[in-house]
Amino acid sequence: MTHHGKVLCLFFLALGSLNSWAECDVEAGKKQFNKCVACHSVEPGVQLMGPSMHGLMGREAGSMEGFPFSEAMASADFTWTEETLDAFLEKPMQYVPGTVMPFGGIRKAEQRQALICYIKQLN
Amino acid sequence: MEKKPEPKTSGLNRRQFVGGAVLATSATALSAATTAQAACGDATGCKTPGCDYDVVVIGGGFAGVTAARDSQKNGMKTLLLEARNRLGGRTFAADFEGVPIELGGTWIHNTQPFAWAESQRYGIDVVETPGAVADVMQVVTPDGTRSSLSLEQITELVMGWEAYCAMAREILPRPYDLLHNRDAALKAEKISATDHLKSLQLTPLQQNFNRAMISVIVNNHAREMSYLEVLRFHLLGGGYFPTFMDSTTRFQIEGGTPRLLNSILQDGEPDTRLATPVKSIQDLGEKVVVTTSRGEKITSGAVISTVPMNTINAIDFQPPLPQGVVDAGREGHPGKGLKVYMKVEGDQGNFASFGAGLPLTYAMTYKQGKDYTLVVGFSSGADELDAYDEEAVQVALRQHLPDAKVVGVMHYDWVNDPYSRGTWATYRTGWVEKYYEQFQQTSGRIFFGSGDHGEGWRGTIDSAIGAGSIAARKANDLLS
Repeated sequence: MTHHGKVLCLFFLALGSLNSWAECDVEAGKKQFNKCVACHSVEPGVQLMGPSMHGLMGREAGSMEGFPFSEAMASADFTWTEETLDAFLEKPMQYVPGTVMPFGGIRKAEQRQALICYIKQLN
Repeated sequence: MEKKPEPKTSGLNRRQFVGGAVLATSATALSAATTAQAACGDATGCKTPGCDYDVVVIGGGFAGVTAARDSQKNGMKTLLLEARNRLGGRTFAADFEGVPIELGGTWIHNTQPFAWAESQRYGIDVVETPGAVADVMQVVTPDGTRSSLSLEQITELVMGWEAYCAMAREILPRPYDLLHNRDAALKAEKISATDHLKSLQLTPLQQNFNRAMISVIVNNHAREMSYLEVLRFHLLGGGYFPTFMDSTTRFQIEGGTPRLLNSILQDGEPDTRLATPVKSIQDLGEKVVVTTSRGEKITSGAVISTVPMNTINAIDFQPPLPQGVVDAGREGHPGKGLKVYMKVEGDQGNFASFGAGLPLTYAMTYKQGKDYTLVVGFSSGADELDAYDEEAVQVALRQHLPDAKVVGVMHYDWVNDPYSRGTWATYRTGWVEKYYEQFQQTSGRIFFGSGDHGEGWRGTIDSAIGAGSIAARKANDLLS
């Protein structure tokens, strides 16, 4: 590898760590979002059976104004982060008992990570 | 970070109140008095003195929407309550990368009197599902052997199905009157669909196809349903293999199920509220009080419950439901399977493939695109196939299409949905004797109009419409 090549490589590594979403596969995540798309829009303010996923990260669970959350989700006391979303997507109905989101859960970690990658960049 | 909105306590007008989802987050703050006033501001609006509504319909699927339309058109002030944040019940149209699909109930047919009448009434045509009349018909054995069927083999397969159903006309002379030949029907409903299959001298091809077909009908393992139920489907579908096949998977509603649903709803224009689960229904003799999960109380002259069989025990009924209805709800109808859409690379042709005992018991072409094929498949349940895992779905589909590259998967988890807890209803062995009469009971001012208990095409869009319209007629008889 040339000197320039090494520098370029380091540059992208540094960029990657600054923008962690760029490391993950948004396209694979978009495919994963097929599991969600019937009930969740990615457009801001578009509420389907479930709330819009736009701007989910950092939002308090069950907090989108105007959306009729279940009692369970409305009273949930956590914020959507990569960690909480990962735990939720694995077993939603155990993570928030009483949620009316009909979703059995994604068992494979890499599939959840791809999905989270896609949802993150919606912010 | 956004803050949780403060509950609103005032400022709702009547339109907002009946408008549904928009107010659901603030609904907890509404007192019963506010509710009554808002819902029934015009005292002359109700025939039933002192009530908010004449008829309250619980459940906004095809049964509930039909019951609400008919009640409103009968001159009853009617409110439709739906737990989910959408109408449609166990029908749910969606978009799969630009292709319209139906995640739940899909097909209607001219042998289905109620659904066909409604589609004709509103001038709605049908479109065909290619796989129902496939160019290639295939059977896959449990050891993985695939056979593309020749004309002779298709004849063999049809003969095997007809052999399975040979006694149908004798046992069920009138398929809408399950107990018309009471003794024969009660005997047949004690036999599981698979036990009858085992009792017949059929070829391996016939055995395999019949078992796969029965699994598709029950949306579970074939053993979970009674032999009588198979005969019912066969006879309702014309008692003849080709029309039977057409009746189950050929004709879709043009424009999707919401088009028909909305036509029915807009014809009646009942007040409608979404995202409003019901906690209890109390028949007080002079009126019925419906209490929502948020504590609102709505009074009416009659209630029509179209709540699915598998979820009915989540609502507190007073007087209590018949014990058989409670028991059946606990046991659950066997519709616990999966319907999975798979986008596959390339043109896979127009095929239909059956495989008893495989993770996908049935797969067929739903749409042929230029560079892709959309395949719809059915599975006996989550224990057979993890539909959330594209890799598992691809492995399952490759038993039918060896080179399939699955590039997208969509399904809806009806079994985990707290407002359905299952797909469509058929009866387990012994249920007709144990529960059937109790399924048919009404109780004072409470009427039951779920398609899960409907006569005829039980478990279909057709039976939902039929059950809803019959319940509306009964409520009208009481209140008129």
